[in-house]
Amino acid sequence: MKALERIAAFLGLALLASLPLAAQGPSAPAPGPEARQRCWGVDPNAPVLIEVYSDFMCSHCRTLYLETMRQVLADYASQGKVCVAYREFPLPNNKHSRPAARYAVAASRLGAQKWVQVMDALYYYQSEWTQNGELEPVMAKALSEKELEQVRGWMKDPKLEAWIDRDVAEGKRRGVGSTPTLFITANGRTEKVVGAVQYGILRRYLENLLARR
Amino acid sequence: MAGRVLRWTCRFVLGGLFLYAGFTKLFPPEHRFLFEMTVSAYRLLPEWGVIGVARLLPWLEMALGLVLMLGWVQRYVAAFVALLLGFFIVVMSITYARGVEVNCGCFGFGEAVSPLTLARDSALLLMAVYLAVSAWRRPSAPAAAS
Repeated sequence: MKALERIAAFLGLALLASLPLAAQGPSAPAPGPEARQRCWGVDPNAPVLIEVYSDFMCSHCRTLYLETMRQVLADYASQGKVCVAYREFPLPNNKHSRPAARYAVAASRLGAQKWVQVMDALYYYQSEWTQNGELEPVMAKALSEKELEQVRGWMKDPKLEAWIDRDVAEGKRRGVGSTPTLFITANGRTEKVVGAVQYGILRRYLENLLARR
Repeated sequence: MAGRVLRWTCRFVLGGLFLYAGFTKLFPPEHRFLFEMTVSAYRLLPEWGVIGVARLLPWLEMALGLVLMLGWVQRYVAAFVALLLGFFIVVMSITYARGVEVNCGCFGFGEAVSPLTLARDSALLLMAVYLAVSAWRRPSAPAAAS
């Protein structure tokens, strides 16, 4: 029995000694080279990059965008501290998500302000258009008739589908299994966060990252 | 003899895992903020509650792990660990049933709550219940000496 106790004590000590090695853990997959070219914010080379894999029909993505990411865009991205890149990740079961993603990507060609307006409308009126898939009335709330006409034209562009497919493939490569999933890159390290994080909590993390650079 | 080996195994596996779980949430220091975000994503607590739980829980896990491995006041510690694991399982089950996609936050980061996570925690709960029951059934040390 003494031998058993000695073996157990040795194993316990070995476990304690190995904890610092185990704690760091591997970094999440790093962003692709194009991530910073797609970011919303005044500085594409901002010290923190947040990539959000999102689905327009997902209710937690709505919560994350309306309650957290809008604030991040206003408080951090507009000051060049953070660059935010939204990536399309329409889930296969959500049949209206891909058309909504196409509208958002098309609207992004109108510039940051219009893209934000379209994102606002798509998420704010989510409960309406997810019932019937009628996205035009929602887009009309965010864009002028002329802008909407432009977006309609771009919607036929096959590059939009290719764009979304690339985002989905990139998400799968990085292990995205659900939405929303965030990848936060700063100080040479990328962390993966799943779920709709409250703004105050994300802000604490961002402040810590910005203070340590 | 077999019972004693099983109890030792349960104590060291559970204690080691609790120690590891607490440690990965505290070190390196930026993991404290990552753990706050994990707790926040469960959408069950206000911000002050998230911060409180994220600060307290890792230290509690480490303390419980250490005491379990040392074998002190085992009947109380094992019972408390069983209750804590039961609480984790209930919270994760509710979250999973609500369709909220979150990181488990169990051992480090990046593992989503899934039936596998629930099964693993249930196995740990069984070990804790066995330890608690066997500790309460055995006479305490002073009583055995008298």
